[in-house]
Amino acid sequence: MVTIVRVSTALTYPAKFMLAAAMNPCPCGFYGDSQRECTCTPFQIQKYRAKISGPLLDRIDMHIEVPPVKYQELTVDTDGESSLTIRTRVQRARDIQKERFKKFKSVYCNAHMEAKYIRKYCILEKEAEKLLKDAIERLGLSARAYDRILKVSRTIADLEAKEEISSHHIAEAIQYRSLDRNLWM
Amino acid sequence: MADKIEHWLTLNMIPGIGAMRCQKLLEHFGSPQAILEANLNELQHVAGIGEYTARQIVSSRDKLDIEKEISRIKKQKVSVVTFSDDNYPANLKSIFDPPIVLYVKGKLLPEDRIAIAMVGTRRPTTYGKMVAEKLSKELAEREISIVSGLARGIDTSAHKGALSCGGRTIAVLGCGIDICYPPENRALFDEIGKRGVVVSEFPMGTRPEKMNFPMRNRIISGLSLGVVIVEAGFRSGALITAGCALEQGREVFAVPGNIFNLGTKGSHSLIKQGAKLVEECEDIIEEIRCLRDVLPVSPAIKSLREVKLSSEEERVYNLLSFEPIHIDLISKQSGLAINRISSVLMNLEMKGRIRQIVGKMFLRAPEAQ
Repeated sequence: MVTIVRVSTALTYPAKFMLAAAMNPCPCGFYGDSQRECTCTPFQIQKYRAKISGPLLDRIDMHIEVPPVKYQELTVDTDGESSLTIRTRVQRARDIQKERFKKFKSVYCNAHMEAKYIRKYCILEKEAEKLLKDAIERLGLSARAYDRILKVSRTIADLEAKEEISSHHIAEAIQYRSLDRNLWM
Repeated sequence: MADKIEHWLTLNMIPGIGAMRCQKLLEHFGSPQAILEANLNELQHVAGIGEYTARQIVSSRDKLDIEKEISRIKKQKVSVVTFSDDNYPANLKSIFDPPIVLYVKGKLLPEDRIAIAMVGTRRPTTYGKMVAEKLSKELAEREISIVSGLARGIDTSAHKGALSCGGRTIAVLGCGIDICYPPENRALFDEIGKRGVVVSEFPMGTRPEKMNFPMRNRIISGLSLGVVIVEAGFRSGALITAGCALEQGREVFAVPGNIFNLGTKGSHSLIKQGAKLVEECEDIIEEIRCLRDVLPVSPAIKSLREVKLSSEEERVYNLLSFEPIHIDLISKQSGLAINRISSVLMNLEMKGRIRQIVGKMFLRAPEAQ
């Protein structure tokens, strides 16, 4: 929720939304491209990336790098999963979450969890805990990223209908935080 | 001694006389103070100093604001090492045109005599960056100081590699020591100032002008026993450093690269001319006699090789090479779904066996080889 206070009144608006955004890796768009060379200087890339501040980036759960698709790959049909099977899997995970949070007002899915619920529902297996601790130390992830990783790994575990979060769930969740990791410099 | 340093600094700041002419003047007059007190007639009779240069010395020596220079040096916590000081680097003293003054951040140690320079392109490939980091780390682990120019690309990787294992590294600047160029290397600059040395022959406030860099390159090779060129194009500044090294009687080493990459033409031409091809740090150590007895392989690297992999991890690791490949391709080749492969790759990364680079690309980590 967002509360805006002006001289005469204070208004509270609902602000629960899902954000999907896209950006280029650098001003010219070719940084990290295997086919074409990027013409930006490291300084330019740094400046470009700094437009999205760390705290803002921390609040985005999943960062996915998408390489350019070659013409050949566009035209060849591959046997990916159909949306229908994915839909049933997602629906099942949503049901698990609805069941989990039915006691609480205004919490419907993992993304809505506050810190206290995270401690309660994101129970890690021993090995997963160790992996997360190592990753935070080695990859220099922030405390905010830590909570995000827990939530995302909770969802990944739900998709497999698992009660406890194991290390491969955590590992997958960490893979979705590539922008935190200074791979770009 | 304070006034003496002032004289050295003044001499260094007079425009139009470089290291060569300074040496000639010093030979003739004996001390910087005598040079600064000499009259026009005396000056122009020194071999190699014409009337024009003599006039320039006379006209500019009193105009220089040496007080300001000294206060800037104090403010920036920089120390000054002159040609006559005991801690002036021994290697540098032996070259043809040594700088008469070095502005220093950090501390020059006698151990820095055992030094190797590593330079290369400012626009490296991932391969080039990895090679520079690996070689410099391995050399630094054997207590060899790594000298480079704090430029973008290979230079940066070389410094980082040495720092990553707690080794010593020396950065030689092409601008005043109060200026950090390129600006994005600020953190690295400070780190080297703390744990290694940053040096420059240029007066405070000197901008990073194009013409400064070839001059800086002679110091890079001069401080070292040998120079390793990692990736250099046809007209790269790294080739100037290699040229300086040859003139100064230093060893020249070059790392081979991909022949389709224009960025390695320069290093390959060096190999054709007789520079030693380098695949591992032993290739460098072998060539330089006084390095032979320095430390064997450190225990940290050995333990990395002994980390156990699960059968799945083993399978994925075997798919990877030193050429980066995209996660989708790894998933396709291994037959593992993308979520599964993500976690396997993550585990491999945590075990230090592979590395991830920009664009969700993965490759083997060189240090685990």
